[in-house]
Amino acid sequence: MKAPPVFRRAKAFLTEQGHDSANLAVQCFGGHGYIRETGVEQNVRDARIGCLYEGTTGIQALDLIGRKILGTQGARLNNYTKTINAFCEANQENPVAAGFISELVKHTKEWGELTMQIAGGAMKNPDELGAASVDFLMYSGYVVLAYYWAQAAIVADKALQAGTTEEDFYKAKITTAKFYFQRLLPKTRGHVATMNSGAKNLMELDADHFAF
Amino acid sequence: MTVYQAPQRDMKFVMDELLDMPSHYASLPGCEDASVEIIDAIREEGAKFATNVLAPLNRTGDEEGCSWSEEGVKAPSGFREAYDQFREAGWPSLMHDPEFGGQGLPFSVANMFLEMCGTANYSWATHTGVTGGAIETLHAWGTEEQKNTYIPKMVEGIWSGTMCLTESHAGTDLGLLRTKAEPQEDGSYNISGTKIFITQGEQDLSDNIIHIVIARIAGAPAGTKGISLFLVPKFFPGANGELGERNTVTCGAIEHKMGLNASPTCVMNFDGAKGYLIGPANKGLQCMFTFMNNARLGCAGQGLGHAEFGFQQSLAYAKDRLQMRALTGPKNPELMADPIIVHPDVRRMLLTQKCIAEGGRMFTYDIAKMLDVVQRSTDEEVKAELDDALGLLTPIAKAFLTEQGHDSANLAVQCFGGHGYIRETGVEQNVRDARIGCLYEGTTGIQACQSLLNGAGA
Repeated sequence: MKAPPVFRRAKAFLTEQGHDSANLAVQCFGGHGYIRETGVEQNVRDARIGCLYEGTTGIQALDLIGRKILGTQGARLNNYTKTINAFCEANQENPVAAGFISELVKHTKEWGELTMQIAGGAMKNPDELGAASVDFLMYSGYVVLAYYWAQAAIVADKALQAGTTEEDFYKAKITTAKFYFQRLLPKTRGHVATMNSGAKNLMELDADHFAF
Repeated sequence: MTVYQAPQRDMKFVMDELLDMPSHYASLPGCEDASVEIIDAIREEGAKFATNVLAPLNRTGDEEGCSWSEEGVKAPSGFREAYDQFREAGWPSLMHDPEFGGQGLPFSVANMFLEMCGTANYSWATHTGVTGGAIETLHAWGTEEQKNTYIPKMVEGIWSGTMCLTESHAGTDLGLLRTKAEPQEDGSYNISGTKIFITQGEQDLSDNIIHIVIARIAGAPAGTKGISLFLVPKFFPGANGELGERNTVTCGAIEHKMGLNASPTCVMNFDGAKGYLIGPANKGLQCMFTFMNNARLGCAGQGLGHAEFGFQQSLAYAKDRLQMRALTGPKNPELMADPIIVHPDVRRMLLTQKCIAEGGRMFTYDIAKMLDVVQRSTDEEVKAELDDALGLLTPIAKAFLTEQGHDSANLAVQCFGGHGYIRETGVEQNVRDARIGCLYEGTTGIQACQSLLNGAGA
C-alpha cells in the first residue's frame, strides 16, 4: 500500500519539528542541557539523522510538490483539502472552534492557490519548483497539524460537555490548540513570503562567487 | 578532513571599507599607529596561525577530549604546543595595556584575530577568551599591587585566568549563591564553596591560573546586593616571579558535554582557599558588568564563526558532490551527475549561511568598534551615547547570532546529507560546538528580556 501524500509530508515536517523541539528541551535546561548526563543533548543528536535519511527534507519536499501534487494535477491535494473543508463546515458553529475554523478555511484555500502558482512558475522555469519546495512542505506541515489540533479541541470539548473525571486533561488540549493556532501556525506567513520571492534570488549568484 | 581558510577579503571589506576602521583608529587616542599595513599584517599572520596550527587540532581535540585526574586536567594532544606558539608569537598581549606589557592595540583588532582562532577551533580559543575577561576585570577593579603582581604574567600568557560565577543551584539567578568569604586578620579572605561550569578552571596550558570568583562575605546581605568579587590564585606568587605555595582550590571533575569537548568545563572546589577582595565589598556584580558585556560579544562572534566554518565546508561539498541532474537539464553532461550546488534548495541553504556569516561579521565588528570608543575616547558625551547603544545591541547580537549560527551550522549538515551525520566531516561537531552559544553567558530567553529592558531605557 502506498502512503498517502500527507504521510510523505509527515516524515519531513515532523523530523524537522522534532529536531527543533529537542533543541527547545535543551534550551529549557539552560547550561545543564549541554551536559550529557541529562539526556536532552543526546535527544538532539539522535533526532538529527531523521532530517537526513530516507531522503533528506529537501528531497522529500521535491517529491511532494513535484510528483505527489503536481504529478496528479493537484487531485491528491484537492481530495485532502476537501476533507478539511467538510470538517470545517460541520464545525463552524461550534464555539470551541471559533478562531480555528476560519484559519483552517483560509489556509486550505491559500494552499491550493500556492500550488497553482508554483505549477505556473515551474512550467516557465523548472527551478521555481525547487525554489519553493521546502517552504511549501513546511507550509503544508503547519496546515496539516492545524487540522489535527482543531479536531483535538473539538473532541476534548465533547468530552467536557459529556462530563468527565479528567477535566484538566481535556482543558489542556483546548488551551494547547489555542497556542498552536496563535503561536505556531502564523509561521506559515514567513513561508508564503519566501515562496513568493521566486527562484531568481537563489539562482542568480555564480557558483564561483559564493566566497572569495 | 576539514579545512578552514580565514575569509580575509571579506574581513578587509568590513574593516577598511564598510566600517572605515583606518579613520576610526587615526582618531582614537593611543591607536594612531594602527595603520592599514599593521592591521593587514596582523590579519595575515593570524590567518596563518588559525589555519595551520589551530584548525588541524579541531577534529582531533573533539575526539580525544580533555582528561581529569587528581593531578589536574590535561588538554588534548597538540593543544599545549599550539598555545606555546601563540604565546611565543606575542598574541596574548595584542589588546592589553602597554603599562603591563600589552601592545595596546584596539579591542576591534583583537576581535578580528579572535574570530579566526574561534572559527578554526573554538574549544582551543575559550582559553584566550576567559583569560582576557579576567585581565579586563582585574585591570578595571584591582589595586595597583594586584595589577602589578598578576596582569603582566597574564598578558604574557604564562598565567591564565577564569571567571567563577555559577553554582549548581545559582546560574542566571546569581543572588542565590552560597560560596562564602570569611575575612582574615591579614586582610585576605577564606573562600569556601563549589563552583560549576568553570571554563578552563583547570588546565595544563599555562603555569598558573588566576580565578576571579564571586562570593558572599560573612554577614553580607542576601541576594545580589551581598556579592563581592575575589581574586584566588592557584599558586601564590613567590619571590622573583617564581611560583609559590599551592592554594586550596582544586578541580573536582570535568563535565561530559555535547560539544566543545576540548575545552575543560570544571567543577571547582574552594576549600578555605585564600582570596583577595577586588573592587568594593558587596559590589561584585557591578564589577562583573564590563566583563559580561564583552563575553556576550565573544559569544556573538562564536555564532558567526560556526556559520562561517559550516559555510566553508558545505560550499566545498556542494561544488564537489555529484548527484542527480539540475531541474532545468544537465549542467555537467560529460559527468555522471551535476554538482548539488545547481539545486535551488541547496543554494538556499548556502546563501543563508553566507548571509549569517558575513552579516554577523559586520554586526560584531561594528560593536567592537563602538567598544573601542567606549574604552578609549575622551569625549564623555560620545562614550555615553555608544554605551547606551551597546546596551541595546549586545544582547541582540549575542542571542540572534548564536541562534542563527546554530541554525546555519545545521544547514551545513543538511547540505552534506547523510554524510553530515558522520563525525569525520566536522560539520556535526560544528553543530554541537555551536549549541552552547545559545545557553551560556545568559540564555537566549534572558538576552531577550535584557534587550527589551535596555531598549525601553531601563
